[in-house]
Amino acid sequence: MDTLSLVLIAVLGTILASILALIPALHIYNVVGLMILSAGALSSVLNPDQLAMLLLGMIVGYAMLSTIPSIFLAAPDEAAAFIVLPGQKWLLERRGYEAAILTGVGALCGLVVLIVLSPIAGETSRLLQIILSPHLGWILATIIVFMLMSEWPKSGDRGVSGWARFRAAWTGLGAGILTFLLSGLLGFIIMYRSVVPTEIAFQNLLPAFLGLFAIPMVLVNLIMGTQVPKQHIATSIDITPGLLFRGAAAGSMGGLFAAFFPVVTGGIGGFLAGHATAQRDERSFIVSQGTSKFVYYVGGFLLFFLPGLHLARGGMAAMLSTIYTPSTPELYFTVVAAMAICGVVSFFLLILFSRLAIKLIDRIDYRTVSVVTLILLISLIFITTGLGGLLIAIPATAIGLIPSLFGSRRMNCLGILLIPITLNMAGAGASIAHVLGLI
Amino acid sequence: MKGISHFLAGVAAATFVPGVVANAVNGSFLIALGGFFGILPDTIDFKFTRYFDKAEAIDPDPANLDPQWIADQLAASIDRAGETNRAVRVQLHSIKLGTDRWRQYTVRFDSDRNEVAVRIGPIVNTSQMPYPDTEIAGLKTARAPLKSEMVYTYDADMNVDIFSGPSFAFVPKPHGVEVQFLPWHREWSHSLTLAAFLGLLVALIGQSAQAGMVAGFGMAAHILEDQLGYLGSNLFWPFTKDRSAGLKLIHSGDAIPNFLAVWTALCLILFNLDRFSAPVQHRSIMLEPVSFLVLALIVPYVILLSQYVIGKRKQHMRVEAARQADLVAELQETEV
Repeated sequence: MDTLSLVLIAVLGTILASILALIPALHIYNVVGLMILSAGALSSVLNPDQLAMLLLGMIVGYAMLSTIPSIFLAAPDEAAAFIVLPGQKWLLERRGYEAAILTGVGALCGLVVLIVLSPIAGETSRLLQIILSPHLGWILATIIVFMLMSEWPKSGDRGVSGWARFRAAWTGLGAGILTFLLSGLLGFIIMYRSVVPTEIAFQNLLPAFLGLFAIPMVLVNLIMGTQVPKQHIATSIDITPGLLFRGAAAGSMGGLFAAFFPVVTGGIGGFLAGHATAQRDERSFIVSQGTSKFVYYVGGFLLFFLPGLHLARGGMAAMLSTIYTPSTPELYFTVVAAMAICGVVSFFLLILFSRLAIKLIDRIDYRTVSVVTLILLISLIFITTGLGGLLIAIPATAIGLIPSLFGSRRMNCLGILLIPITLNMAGAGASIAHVLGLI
Repeated sequence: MKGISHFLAGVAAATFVPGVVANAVNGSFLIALGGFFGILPDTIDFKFTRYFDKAEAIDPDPANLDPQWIADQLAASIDRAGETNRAVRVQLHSIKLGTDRWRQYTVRFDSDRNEVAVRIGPIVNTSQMPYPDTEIAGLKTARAPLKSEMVYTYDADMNVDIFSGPSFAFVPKPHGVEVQFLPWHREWSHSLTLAAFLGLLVALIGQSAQAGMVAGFGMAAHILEDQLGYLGSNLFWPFTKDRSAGLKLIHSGDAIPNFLAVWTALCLILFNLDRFSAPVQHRSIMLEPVSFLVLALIVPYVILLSQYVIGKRKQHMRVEAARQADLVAELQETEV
C-alpha cells in the first residue's frame, strides 16, 4: 500500500474520531478497545499498517475535538479536566467559541512541536529512556508532593482572629487533601478489587474518570440552573505572540512529560502545564491545555513508531502493541506526515463543529443540554461497564463534587492514579491493599 | 519566584547530595524531600504566618463604595504610626461581588503630594479582566492628605481586586513613615540559619545525614533563588532583623527568569541522574558534559537572557519601586 493511501486512511480516522469526540464522555480509547478486540474481523478490510494509520488519525482527531464537549457541555475526559473551568467561564461570557479555537490553536502549536522534534525524537527518547526509567517511583512521589503543596488558600483574609482566618483558609486546603486521599482510596479499590467484569477490564477507569471529572460539572450546571447566553462567533483570536508562546511552551513541557512517562496521564501533564502558566491571563492557560492534551495523546502514540524503540505509551499504543509492531523505519516518517495533515484537517473540523455546537446550545435550553449529557454519561457507563461501573461512578461523583463545594482544585482527583501507582512502585501497594481488606 | 521554580530547585539540589540518586534507583524517595523543603518557605508564609499577622482591616462596603473612606483610613493609619512612633499594620480587603466578579480599586501612596489617593475601578473577573461598562460614572479619585511625612517610592498604582488584598506595615523611620509591603513575607521563614537548623533536625530525626543535607540544601536553594531578585530575605534570622536587599538581577514574577529557573533545574536533575545513578565502578555516562551543558543550558540562556535584558532596558523602574514590585508579583503569583 502506498504512502498516499496510508495518509488518506489516517484522514478518514480523523474524521471518524472527530464525530465520536462530540459524544460527551465517549473516550476514543473505549472505541479503540472494541476495535482491537475485533481486529480479527477488521483484518479482512484493513492490513495492520492501515489499522495503525486509522488509529493515528483517530487519536489526532480526538485530541483536537474532545475540546468541544469539555467547553460546551462541561463533560471533559481526564486529560481535558482543567480546560472546563475557564471554558465554562468563557462560555458564560459569550466567548465559548474563542475558548474552543484557542484550545485548537494550542493543539496546532503542539503539532508543530511534535513535527520539529520528530527527527531527533528517536535518539533523545532512547537516552531519556535509559536515564529516567529507573527513577519513575520518586518522580511520581515528587509530583504528589508538588500537587499537595502548590495549592494556595483562596480564602481566610477575613476573620475575627488569626485562628478563624487560618481555619477558613485551611477548609479549602483540607478539602483538597481529602479529595486527593479519597480519590487514592478509590484508585486502590479499582486496582485491587474492581467490580467491572474482567473481560472488559480495559474500561476499568472509565466510570471513575467520568464520576470524578465529568458528572460533577454537569450536576453543578444543573443545580445552579446555568443558562448560557447567545454565543459570539469571533473572527480573530485575541492573544499576543508572547502569551501564545508561553502557553505553547508550558503545554509542550507538560504534554511531553506525560507522553513519555508510563502511567503519567494527560491530566498530570495538564496540571504541570497549567501550573507553569499560572498567570493572570487565561488565554495562555487555555492554549497550554490544548497543547498539552495534543502532545500527550499524539506524541505518546508517535513514540510507538520510533524506529528501534517502539515505546508503548498511552492507552492507544498499549492496545495496538498487543497485535502489531511497526514494520519498517520508513513508516515513522509517513506517520509524522500523516499526523501533520490530520492535525490541520482536525483543526478545521474543530472550527466547523464548534459552530454547530454553538447552534445547538443557542437553540436548546442549556438545562436540557445538561440533562441529555448526564443521561448520556450514565448510559455510557452502564453500557460499557454494567452495574459495576455505576457502583464505581457514584462514589467517584461524590468525590468529584468536593472541589465544587469547597472551591478547591479539581486536579486533586488525580490521586486516583497517583496514590496507588506510587505506592505500588514503593513496594507498599500490596501491604496497604491488605490493610484495606482488598486482598 | 513561582512555586514550581522553587520546588524544582529543591529537587535539583537534592540530586547533588552524594548517594541520593543511587539510592533513588533502589527505591528511595528522598529526592522528593528536596522539593518539599524547596517550597517550604513560601508554604510557611502563605499558609500559616499570614493569618496570624495582626493587621487592622480596611474592608470597603460593596453596597456603599466610598473611595474617600478608604483613603482616610489609610491616611489615619500612616499618621498614627508617625505620631505614636510605633509601626501600624494594615490589611486592605478586596471587594467580592460574585463567584467571578470583583470590584477593583486602586491605591496610590503619592509621596510627591504626601497624600493617599484612591480610585474605584471597574468590575473585573478572576483573571483581572474588566467587564465592559462597569466603571461607576461620576465617582472621582479621593485624596487624603497626610500629617506625617511618608516615604514611598513605588511609582505605580496598586490595584486591589481579586482574592486577598495586600497588607502593609507603616514603619516610623527617622526620615518619615516608611510604607512596607507584605511585612509578614520573607522574614524568618526565608533564613539560611533556619535552613541549616531544619537540615540538622531532619538528620537527627531521620538518623540520616543524607536526609538532612537534602532538606537543608532544598530550603537554601529557595532562599538563594529569591536573593536574585530585588527584595531578598531576612537571610540570617534570628541574628539579623530586617530583610536584606537582593542582587537585583531579576524580578520574581517575570516569565523568562522563572522559565530559566525551571529549565536549569530540569537539566541539572537529568545531568545528575545520568552521572550518579549507577555505582562508580559501573558508570557509563551518556550525556557528554560539555556538549550537554552548552546545548541544554548555555544556548537557551544566551537567547532568553538577551531578550530579557533588552526588554528590561525599555522599562525604567527605580530600585526601591522594583523591590516592592517584586513583592506584589509574588503575592499575585501565589494567589493563583
